[in-house]
Amino acid sequence: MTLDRRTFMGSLGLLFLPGTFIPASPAFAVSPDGTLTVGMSSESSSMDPHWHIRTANSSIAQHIFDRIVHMDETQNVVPGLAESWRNVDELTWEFTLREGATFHNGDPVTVEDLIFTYERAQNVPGAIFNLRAYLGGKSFEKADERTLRVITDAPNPIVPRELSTTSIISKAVGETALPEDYNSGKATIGTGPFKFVAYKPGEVIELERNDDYWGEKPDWSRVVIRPIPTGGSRVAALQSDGVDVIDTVPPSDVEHLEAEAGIALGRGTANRMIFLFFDHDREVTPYVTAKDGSEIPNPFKNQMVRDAFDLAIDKKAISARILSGNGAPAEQLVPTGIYGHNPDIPLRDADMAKAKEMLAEAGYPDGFKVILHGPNDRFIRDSAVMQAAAQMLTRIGVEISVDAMPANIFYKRASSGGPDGVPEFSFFLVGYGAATGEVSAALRNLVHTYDKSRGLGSNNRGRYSNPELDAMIEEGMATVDDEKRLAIYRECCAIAVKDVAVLPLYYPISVWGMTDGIDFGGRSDERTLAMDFHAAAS
Amino acid sequence: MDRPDMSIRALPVTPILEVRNLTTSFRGSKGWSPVVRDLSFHIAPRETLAVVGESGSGKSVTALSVMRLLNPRSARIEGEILFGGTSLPGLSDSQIRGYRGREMSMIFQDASLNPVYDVGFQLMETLRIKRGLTQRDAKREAVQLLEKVRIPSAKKRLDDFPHELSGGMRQRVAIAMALACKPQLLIADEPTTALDVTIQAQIVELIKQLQDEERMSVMFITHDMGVVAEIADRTAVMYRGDLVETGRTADVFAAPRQPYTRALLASIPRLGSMNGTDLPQPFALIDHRSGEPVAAAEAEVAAPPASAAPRLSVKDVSVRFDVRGGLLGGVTGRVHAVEDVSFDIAPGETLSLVGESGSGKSTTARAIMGLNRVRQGRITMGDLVAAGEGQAPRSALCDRLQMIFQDPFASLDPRMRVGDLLAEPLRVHGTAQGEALRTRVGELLRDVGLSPEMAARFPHQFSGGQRQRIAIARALALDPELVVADEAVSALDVSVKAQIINLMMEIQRARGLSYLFISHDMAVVERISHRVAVMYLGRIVEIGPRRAVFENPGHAYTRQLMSAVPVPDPARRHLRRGLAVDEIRSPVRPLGYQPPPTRMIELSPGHFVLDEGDAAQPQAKGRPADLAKA
Amino acid sequence: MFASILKRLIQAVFVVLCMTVIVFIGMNLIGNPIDLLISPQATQAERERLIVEFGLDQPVWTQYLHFLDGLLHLDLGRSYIFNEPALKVILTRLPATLELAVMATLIAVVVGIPLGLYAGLRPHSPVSRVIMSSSILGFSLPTFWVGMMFIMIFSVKLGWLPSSGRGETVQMLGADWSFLTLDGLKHMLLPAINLALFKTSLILRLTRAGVAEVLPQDYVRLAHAKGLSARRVTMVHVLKNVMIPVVTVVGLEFGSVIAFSVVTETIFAWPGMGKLIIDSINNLDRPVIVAYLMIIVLLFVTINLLVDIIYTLLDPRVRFASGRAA
Repeated sequence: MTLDRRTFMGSLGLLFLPGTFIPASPAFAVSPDGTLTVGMSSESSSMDPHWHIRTANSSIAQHIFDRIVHMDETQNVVPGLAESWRNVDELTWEFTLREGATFHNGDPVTVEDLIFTYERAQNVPGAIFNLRAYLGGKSFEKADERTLRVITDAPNPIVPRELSTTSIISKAVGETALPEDYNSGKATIGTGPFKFVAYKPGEVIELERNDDYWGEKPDWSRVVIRPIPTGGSRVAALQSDGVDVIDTVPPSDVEHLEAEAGIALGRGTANRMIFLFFDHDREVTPYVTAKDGSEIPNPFKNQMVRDAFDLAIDKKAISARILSGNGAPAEQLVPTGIYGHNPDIPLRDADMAKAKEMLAEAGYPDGFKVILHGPNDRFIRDSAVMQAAAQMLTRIGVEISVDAMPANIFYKRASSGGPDGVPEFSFFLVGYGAATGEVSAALRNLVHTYDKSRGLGSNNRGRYSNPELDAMIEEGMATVDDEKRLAIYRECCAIAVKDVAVLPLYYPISVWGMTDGIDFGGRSDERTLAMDFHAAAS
Repeated sequence: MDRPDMSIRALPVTPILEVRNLTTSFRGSKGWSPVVRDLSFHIAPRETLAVVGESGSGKSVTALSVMRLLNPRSARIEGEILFGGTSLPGLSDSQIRGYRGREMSMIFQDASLNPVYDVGFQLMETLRIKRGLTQRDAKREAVQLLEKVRIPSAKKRLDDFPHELSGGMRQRVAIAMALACKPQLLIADEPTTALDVTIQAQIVELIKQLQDEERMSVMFITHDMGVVAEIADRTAVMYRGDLVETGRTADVFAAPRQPYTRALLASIPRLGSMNGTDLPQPFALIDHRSGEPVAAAEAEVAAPPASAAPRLSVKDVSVRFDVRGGLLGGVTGRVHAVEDVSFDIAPGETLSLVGESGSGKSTTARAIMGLNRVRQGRITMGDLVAAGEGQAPRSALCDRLQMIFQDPFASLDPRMRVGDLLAEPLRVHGTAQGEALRTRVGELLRDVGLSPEMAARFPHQFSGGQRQRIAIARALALDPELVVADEAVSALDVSVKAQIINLMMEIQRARGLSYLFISHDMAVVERISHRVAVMYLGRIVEIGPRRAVFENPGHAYTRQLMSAVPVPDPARRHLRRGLAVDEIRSPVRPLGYQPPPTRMIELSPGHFVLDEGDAAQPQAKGRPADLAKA
Repeated sequence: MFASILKRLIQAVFVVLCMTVIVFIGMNLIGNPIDLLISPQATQAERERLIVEFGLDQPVWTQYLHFLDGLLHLDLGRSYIFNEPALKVILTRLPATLELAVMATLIAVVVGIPLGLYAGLRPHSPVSRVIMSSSILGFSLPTFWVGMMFIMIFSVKLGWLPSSGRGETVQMLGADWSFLTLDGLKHMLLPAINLALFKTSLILRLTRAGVAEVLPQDYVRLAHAKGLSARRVTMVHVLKNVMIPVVTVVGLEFGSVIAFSVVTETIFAWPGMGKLIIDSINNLDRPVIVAYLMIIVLLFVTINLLVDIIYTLLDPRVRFASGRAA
């Protein structure tokens, strides 16, 4: 039928009318001892604390369970269920259990529980990722009623950090528990600041305060956690008082939430680096050619080329403009405050002219052609970041195109998409963050030469190899003394940066949103813990 | 015995319906255009008025105007309509609704029952709403109504759905619904046009009886003059929205005053008008404007040479269709559509295949054209096999065998110009190109009485009759030897029908063409055929020269067919034929059925009748004397 | 009629089988779930161990046969992500999606049919024109945008309705349903309307087209000629004939509502199956994806069958088509 234009426009106009005239409703204040409602961007996949090491799962687990040692907001090790520990000799550690810690069912925590936990955590049936990576190479013994002895196969300086990943469960309960019992709550008995109340997948997780907690009691008597994956909905929930706190505020909403009365934002620089990786290994790399398409030897094997690339990219601009301030420009493997960070490594300003010069000097006055690969749904604004980087590189004469793809496809190809199962890409965007909260993981997994048998370089998809660096990393790994080790690692970082093994772009800044009346200091491990949020002093 | 004429003669009686200066206009893109102009007529109580006209005459619109069923937004009624003294146009919507279904009822061409409700529901709806009966009373009354319209096993029929009933049954139900409130006026808009001729006869008979029993008036709209003669006391003739002539039926038929009426009457094929002649003869047409005879048609078509080899030879042909059913959809039976049929057609001869729906005549035609697979037997055209073993490819047969179809609107591609339509067969067979092609197309158009300039137009710009001419021209393009005309004139108006028949005969004379003429219209067949074959339930029950078959029908079915044809002679209308309520049977047989061998008895040279032996024959009741005269 | 039902059931089984093959092949081509789930710190040995544990090192057809075997025992494997049987993961979320879908369909029918009827009966009235223009908006506006608008207006600005999540639930027949509580209904209203928008427009236009097709039919004219009131002609004679195609479409659309309510569920954080499938695809949680697709296929086939049966009940012409001889 014929559509009357006026009728159509009129109907359209009717739609927009309501929204303009209605003022926003006022926010309610939260009260201490009340309920804290949290809207989370990702959902925990299980209540079983040993099932999966994901930020969402760990966040929830941390409410209900304690670990033998804990990590504070900047991922420094602090006492947990162990009130003290010491390094007896190169291969032996002893942890002293504190008095008075009990499980939610009243049972006291014993060393047997610890040993059972570490045994079970490595053998959860069907677990995609289990804690063997952190618990392997150790054996656990009962030294006495209050002391746990840990014996390592090789000198291991980060045993406490590694053990801080594993939630302690009760042997009495865990021995007979079925996987379903964790989700139903039957076996979800921990020692943590909150007790399990209910779990409805996709819907809600309810917790209540553990009034017998040995540590600092949280401000809230009840916590309700609701998964709200869409950024816009999460923000809307905060604005409409559906929730008190949200995590991962989308970059586009940061500005107007700052300005909005009744809502405050909290931040923390995450211990994660988003970077560009080069193909250091192959003589000819598949996605780099001369501008006319002919084959050329791999330019990334030349340190000058890599350095030129690093100079060309304006990391400050990317953080400020592409990420709208939700990222801090990166110059090395870990950000400030994380153990191993080298304060002497400067963040260089971008210098296009110099970069072009260096490229010419390296033997590429006309540049070359390269394809930049990366995921398009994994990191915040990853496609945009890649496009920005590409544009910057274009200005030094490199002809570059961007190929962004869904993460699950990307990772498969990045790890083994090439012939004979080697990494496929020549130049790609990827990220790395360690749960152990210090730099050794990055060093041994990212820049150490790939060695499958020894489990080293498992994330070294660029196949960077520097024997000198390798030796130093291995030395550090065996150095138990914290001070000495720090110096070694800082040196390693410096070498890696100088050699431009990777091209760091930024450290993500996690942004939380909360209603007025809540204080929050921020965290570097991207976790959202109800214990961190405090009712503002009235 | 003559019934006393109850129409206006002795006393002035108030007419039940009086229409004065009725003008109905429709709203179009250019404003209001009148479809019915200044119409005036009346219907007396217990009288039947026939409103006759061809398509576009405005007869249906008149009926709808009386019932006020036209959409008031797009139709405008001016003039006066008085029903029993009350002015209908002046009534409000709810008032006129009160009249509808109660005082005046209407039935339509194809019974138009709602397909999703059963018969009982639709019948009882009228009874409950219009007469306020309770459910139980309504049911009882419904059964009685169905019995009144002579439907067998009336009680069981209440649960049937419309699509389960045949056309005739449905019309009876519609009539029953119309009679539910004992109306004073029944308007019947072409109620029998879509029915087979025997069923038509039954329905017309039924309406006559009911009119008498219910003491109501009938306004009977039709284009069939034979039916008019059967049923109407008075007749009104309409042409293009005007009322041309009105008067007592006997007068109109015997002494038509207007040229159009005369032209109309002249073009009616009358059964029996060819008695005494052997060969086909064109209609003696009258120009509808001047009233003078059209340029005298040539004399009769020549007889085909006696000993020439047949052009088409059909031998022992059977066509069967599978019937599927049961749990897994296996074959449970077969429709023996055509059973053991044999005939020949000589050069320059017209053989007509007559029968009603389900007789197998169309299936036979399609088998000849290769559209249906032949189960047994063979069809040959000279040295080529048209169907059966050793079948020649279609393209080889094209220049010998062509077909004309029933629907002039569906058989021409609306997107092609007429010239292209005619050129297509020539181009495909490479017969002519370029300028020669154009000339040929022009010739073809002239041959069928159109002008060569019309080649540039599209089909929708032509009338039904003209389109059928184009179809004939197309069939002639490749200069065939035989043309199959499958109900080629059935969908045309009466006058046009006659013209086309004349045209076909002229072409036959000019080219020595043979026709296989398929029809259910006995009167038309009588005009055009050299020989006639009558089909019933897939078999030929009678075949022979037209004169022999028509004047001396040997098979009971032939006789029944002929007696069912309405006679356009008012003098004969009071003969009640007492026809049975019979449904036309369908030749479905179980698997493995062996048909009895065909044996024909020769009644006279060339005239054969099927020997039924003890097999059941269709019953025709009535006095033998009447039947013989038909 | 039983013959056709039997035939359809056999066809259904065949379709499901084909589905399993297609899904399996498809899943294999996309990516290795290990890469996505495993921690970057995991050793290579760890990786290998997991691959073996999940049977991902076996040839595809072996995995497939395993799966078929499990299918017959109603064991569709365990979710890689949730550590629960895949079937249980899906069925836990089924009630939420189901009640949302039913509510949305109900809204669409209750709003769409009367409006369509009106628009068909009075095509030239100004009200009808507004109705038809609005219906175009109904299926052109993207669900995502409309959903956000709803949240913006009704939750944030007006504060009338909650912005996301499911409200209070009541246990019934072993599952949790939220439509039995007022709070639950409040939570369901916005997502249901959001989901219903497209369907409403569809049903509206379909009804109108149906009415436009039925009105000029002879039996409608006869009904008028019988002197029945306009109301009765419309509601009894016209409506039933119009309903036949509409019912068919509503039935088939219901299946797609259930299967593809992803966008609405994601925006409103509605804990249903739609969101689950997207997450599972992103995470390559193969058992859940496969189980989900199986259930959807069964659902569609069942709905199709039911629609066919209803259609047969509504339209008597179809009912007897197979039974009668020519």
